[in-house]
Amino acid sequence: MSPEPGRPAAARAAARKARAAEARGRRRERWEALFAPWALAAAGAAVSAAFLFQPALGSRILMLLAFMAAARGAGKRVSVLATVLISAGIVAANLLVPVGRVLARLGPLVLTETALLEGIERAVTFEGLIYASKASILPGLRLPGRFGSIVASAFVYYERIVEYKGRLRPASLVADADELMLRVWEEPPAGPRRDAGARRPARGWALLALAVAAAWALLALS
Amino acid sequence: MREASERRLGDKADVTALLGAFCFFLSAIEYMVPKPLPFMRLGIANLPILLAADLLPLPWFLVLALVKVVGMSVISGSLFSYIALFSLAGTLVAALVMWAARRAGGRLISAVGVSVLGAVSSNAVQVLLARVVVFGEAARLIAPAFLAMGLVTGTLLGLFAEAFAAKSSWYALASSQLAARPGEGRDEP
Repeated sequence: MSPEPGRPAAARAAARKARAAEARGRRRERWEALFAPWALAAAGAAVSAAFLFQPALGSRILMLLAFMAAARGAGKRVSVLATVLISAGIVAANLLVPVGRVLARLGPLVLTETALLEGIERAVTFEGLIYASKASILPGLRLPGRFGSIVASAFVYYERIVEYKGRLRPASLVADADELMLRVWEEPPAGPRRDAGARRPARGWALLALAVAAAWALLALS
Repeated sequence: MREASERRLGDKADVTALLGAFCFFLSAIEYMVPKPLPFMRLGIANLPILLAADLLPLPWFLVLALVKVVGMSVISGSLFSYIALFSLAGTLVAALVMWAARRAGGRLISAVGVSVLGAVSSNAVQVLLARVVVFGEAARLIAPAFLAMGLVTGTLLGLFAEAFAAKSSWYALASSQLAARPGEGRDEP
């Protein structure tokens, strides 16, 4: 598509952002229709554990890429630039303390093998767990037991706070926050929203089983 | 209606849920503030925990801290990541330190003092954790800035908490109702 000459760059960027958000929303809907929140969370926990125990750096990087793809499929924001920058920061911090064979010297900075590998491993693990979690935790996840019901009530109150129409002004923050507390409090939380127990397609269950099996098979092979 | 809602302020589970919701809300605001690493937070989501130190008995106070960690992790989708681990360690340590400071110091320690102790201890634990899982030895380089940040945000949160506790009618109602009905909503979670 060619750029529209009459349209300012800011408006084009805003339109692009809106289209991206819309596409993310569609992907999120498809993802949520495919997996039951509890099953996805359980599979996420199993895959994360296999990732954490994975000793081979190559396999970990492969899994990180798969988690990023899954997080994108789940309609979550995936920023390659932010991932690279944070990882570079973690690697750089690890390089500050030289450990192992010297690979290179860049002025006062000594690049050492063990520090470099440890830095990369820590960065990959850090980012991998974030993306695995993003892909496997849905907002509709309900926890069992009394603790779960308190968390669910907290979510009901949270929705009310988000929907609150009043204002929170810096000049009268205490009074405005008090008014918000009283308004949100006025009605008891209705029964927590259920997941509706909707049936998920067999394809979703098969994908989860495949993901868990692949993660643990990779661990067994390493 | 008003009477019924006032009566509910004696229910510890309900008060815990409401304060937990405020933790989620403040956490969402905090999420918008740019930070160099995902686990480096300002700590404003600890404000409801600071307020709860004078409202809830210890078991419910700890439940609130857990509700905050679990709920925030579900909202941000970070439940299985190191971020949740940092959040759990920081929140629990801050909660326990604030609780102990409140009980040991009584009126001798202000909300600002309690808040600063909580924020600095939370950040200190997170730096220690960062040393183990992310940065290695280099974690000591971020420690001064991270601890200074705790000092500043802890002071600001403490000042707000003091003003809110003094002027809020919701807080006054909750304090009186929880004191009047200590057994309601079960004392043990």
